[in-house]
Amino acid sequence: MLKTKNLTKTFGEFVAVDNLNIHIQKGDIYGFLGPNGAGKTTTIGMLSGLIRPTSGDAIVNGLELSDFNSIKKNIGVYPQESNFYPNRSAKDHMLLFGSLKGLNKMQALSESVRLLQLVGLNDSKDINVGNFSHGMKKRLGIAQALIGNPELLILDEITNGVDPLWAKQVRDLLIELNKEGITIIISSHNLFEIQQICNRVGIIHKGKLVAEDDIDLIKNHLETESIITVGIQNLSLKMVEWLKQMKHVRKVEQIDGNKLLVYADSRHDIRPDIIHGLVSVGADIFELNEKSRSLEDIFIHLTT
Amino acid sequence: MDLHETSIVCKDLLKNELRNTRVLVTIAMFVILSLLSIYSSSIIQLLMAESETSANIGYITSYLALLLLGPVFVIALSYDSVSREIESGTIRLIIPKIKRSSFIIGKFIGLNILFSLIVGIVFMIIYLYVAINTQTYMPLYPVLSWFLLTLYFGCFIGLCLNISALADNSSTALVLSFTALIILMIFSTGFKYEFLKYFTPTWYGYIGFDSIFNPKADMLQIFKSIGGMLFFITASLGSLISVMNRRDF
Repeated sequence: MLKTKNLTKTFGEFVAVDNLNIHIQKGDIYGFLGPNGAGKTTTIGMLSGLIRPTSGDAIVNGLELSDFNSIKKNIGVYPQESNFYPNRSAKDHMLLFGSLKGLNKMQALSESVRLLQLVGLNDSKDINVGNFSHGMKKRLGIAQALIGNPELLILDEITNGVDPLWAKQVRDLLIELNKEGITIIISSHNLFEIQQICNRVGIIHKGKLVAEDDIDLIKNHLETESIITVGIQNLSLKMVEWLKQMKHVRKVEQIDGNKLLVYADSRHDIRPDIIHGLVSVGADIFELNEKSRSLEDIFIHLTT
Repeated sequence: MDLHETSIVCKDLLKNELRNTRVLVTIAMFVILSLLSIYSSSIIQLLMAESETSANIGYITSYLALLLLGPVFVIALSYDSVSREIESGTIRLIIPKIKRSSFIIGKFIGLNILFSLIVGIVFMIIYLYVAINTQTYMPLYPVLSWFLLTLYFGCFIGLCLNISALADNSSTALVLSFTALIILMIFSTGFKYEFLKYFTPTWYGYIGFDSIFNPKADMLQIFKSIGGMLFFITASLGSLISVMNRRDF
């Protein structure tokens, strides 16, 4: 569906995106992750036709990005830092964008009614966008990106700054749209969100792609460390030292007076050994939990 | 360029500019200036003997007033046509949907239609005024004046849009537009080097005026005037498309 080939963007000496090669398959919800200044928005800008690549190219549905005019009909974009005309209504915007997408007046009208209903703005369609809340503008942003039935939807930081309830509604909506066959690229800081809806993820850092795969595969690949919380009523230095000597244990940290964090190699389940060993040195264990690594842990691991 | 996309941008500009208070105030000032020029022409007429020139004096003063002050109104209406969209971020929703050239040419044509209508209304008022007061009916003068001034304003619209497309914000576009206007006005006087005036639309606007209203002038000058201004417009459009295609939004 979309493949970039050494996509690069420089601003003077600064390399914002450096030989990026991402691969998005039809039907994906692709999460594009990275810390601030990593090059996410520049990449999205290049894929949206807003920023000219310095070198490299991208292929969207077999068409080259350099021929953006041919691919624009098949993509819907909601870029970051975009805005609406404050003195025009949501309906006026939809009619304008619909006609720009090549729809006739009747088609644009019926599409605007359908899409404004889909994002829950039908009751506010005649209100000037200047009076809209941040969340309402984001909804309109999704609606305008969907006009013309695009095959590929590119959304930049779509739930940034909106309330959690609406963020959930957006996630549900994106999942529904994906079920209808729309491929979605979503850039976000919100790791929870990416984890909730994306099947594939690309992590970008300092303009370079540092990881790209199915979200579960990335996690499996990097999940080599597990964190085990151990609560001991009669915790002593002897017990801590004993844990440190254990095979596959990398580090032991004490928290909350009588709780320990044991960092161990996740490829080996050492929990039975911990119980057995601690009991043998007289420990009174009241808690033993293993935390699996989240995408956030992986993200931090890869970008620091 | 896509004609369908261009016409949408053009219609959208006209529809929304005519609802904008700033635009309406500017148009009102433009019309008031023209009416004042008619008023001043009737005073001048009193001082002149009855002749063919005195009957034209309404057109002459209006043409000259618009030739000198019209560019200021062009700047007032078009300096932020693109920069405002860049600054507010609205352009980021439009550019992914249409060709960049369609966007900028739509703006250019829209502004030209707007000014063409304003100048048309102004010269219609002057025509009626002259016809009523002098019982002289000379439609050629207002038609030629309207045509030449439309081309003349087209040159400045092209210039303003170039600056607006290059600037990242409207205040920069405004300052740069006025600076460019002052430089062009200085150049149009010949300044230190006579050849400089040939690079200004004001010079071509002036020789057009001379060819219409000066009975001793060479009528062929009008073609030089039209050709010069068309060259300016073509060059500014070429530059505009190039600027739009090269920049990032």
